Amino acid sequence: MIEAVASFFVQHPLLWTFVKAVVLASFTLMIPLAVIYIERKVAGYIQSRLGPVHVGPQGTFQTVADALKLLLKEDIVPTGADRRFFYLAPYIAFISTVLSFMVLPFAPGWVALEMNVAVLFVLGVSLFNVVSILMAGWSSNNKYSLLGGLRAVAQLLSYEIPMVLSVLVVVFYTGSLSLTEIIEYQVKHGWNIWHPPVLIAALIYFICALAEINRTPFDLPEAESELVSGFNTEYSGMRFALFFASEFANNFFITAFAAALFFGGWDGPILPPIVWMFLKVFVMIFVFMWVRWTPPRLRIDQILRFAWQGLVPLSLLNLLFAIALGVR
Amino acid sequence: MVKRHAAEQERYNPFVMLADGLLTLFYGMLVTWRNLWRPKITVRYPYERRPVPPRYRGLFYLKWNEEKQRLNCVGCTLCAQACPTDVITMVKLGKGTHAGVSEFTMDLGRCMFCNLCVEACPFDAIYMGPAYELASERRDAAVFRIADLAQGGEEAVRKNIETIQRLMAEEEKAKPAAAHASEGHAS
Repeated sequence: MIEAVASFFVQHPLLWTFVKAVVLASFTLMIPLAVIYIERKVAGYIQSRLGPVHVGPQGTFQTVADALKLLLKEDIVPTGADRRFFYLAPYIAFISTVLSFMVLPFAPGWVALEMNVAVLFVLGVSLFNVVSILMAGWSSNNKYSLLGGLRAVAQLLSYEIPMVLSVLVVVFYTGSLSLTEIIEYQVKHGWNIWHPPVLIAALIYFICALAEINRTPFDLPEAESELVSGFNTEYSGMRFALFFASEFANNFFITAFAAALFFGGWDGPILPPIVWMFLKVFVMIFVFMWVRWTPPRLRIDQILRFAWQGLVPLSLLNLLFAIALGVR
Repeated sequence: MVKRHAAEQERYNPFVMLADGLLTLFYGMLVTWRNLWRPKITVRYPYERRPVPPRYRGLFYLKWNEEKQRLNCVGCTLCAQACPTDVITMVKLGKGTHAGVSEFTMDLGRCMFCNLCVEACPFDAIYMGPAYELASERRDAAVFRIADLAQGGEEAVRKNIETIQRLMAEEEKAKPAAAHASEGHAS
């Protein structure tokens, strides 16, 4: 039976690609449900509340109900909005997220597209997310949205560089741009995180990842207390849901990427590889949430100064440090 | 002057600032971590309820007097007169020492729970109780009749009317005799 299905898909590679695309897109839509549920639970517990408890056991179906509600809601386009860009922006955000998931190996062989420049590809497509944020902010015809979009671009310009430089350290260590090869190297030689330059790189990556997925203390593009809801203020219904889904799927992806680069991806004893991958991802997501409820939001000038005067030189020095140690 | 300058330099020393910032950051993380494990203060309302404080101003009740087998209310309308929003209407039953009420209706749609009726009552007849879930989808559900308000409900209202009618009848029976006696005495 399985062989028959396998041979069918071998004969029709295009269909197989289609199946993989559908599975990935559904995964990208589903994973935010889990992440948002955990986020709300953690937020509640840190604030001495219980979080969602009402819908389903321990409130687990709360996010499902929310998603259904958003599906049924009216789709409002504000007067004076640039309709083409307004319609397009959420899809670009979502597509960029699905594209990053495409090259992510969850377990040995569990990768939609084996790419030998996966790291480069991920860093490239994740940029599209910011393009969509700027598009949404610009086309909404709303000052809060526009400010959110502009901030997102300023933030991206400053944080993408140290992030790429810190990823580069890992690439130097493993000698490959393929995520699968990077993980397999770590399975053989131990996790990358144990090397001092990679440890520093991981810390820089952590800070940049917070900025990249717009989370506190770097959540300026959607600063609730000053910009209503930031770039997605004017969105409603399913388009808003797509933005939200892509944001939380990105949250998942950026930690999965970190797990692959620094913590050996699926590597781990006893438990199956896929479980280890998810375990690492959710521990990191928990840390992100923990950080979210601790430090206050920075000002935009503080953020930019910290990036350009702090992280960029630090990551450059770290890169030199890695080279000086003479890897591979 | 020089000292202050040094202090200022100390304050703007990037390494001192960095160390300070990291320290406060990690302390903050510790605070939120501790909060994560603290007992939660949420009361899951429809499933759990907090006890109501003893002087809570909830739904009114008319006090039942077990000894006299009647409600304390004598139908004096002092509460109705004290009410700023005309919530209370009543129908008096009997008169004199045995006076009571057969009807006592409160339209809580107008009530602002100010407690003035309770303060006005000289007979300890009306009180505010602990019941607070009075919201409804129907307007007429805000009108509470005597059976809803009396302590002991329908049964208490029935006994109240019975007692008062019995006492009135006894008095009525005793009265002509007394009147006759006094008449006789006079003549």
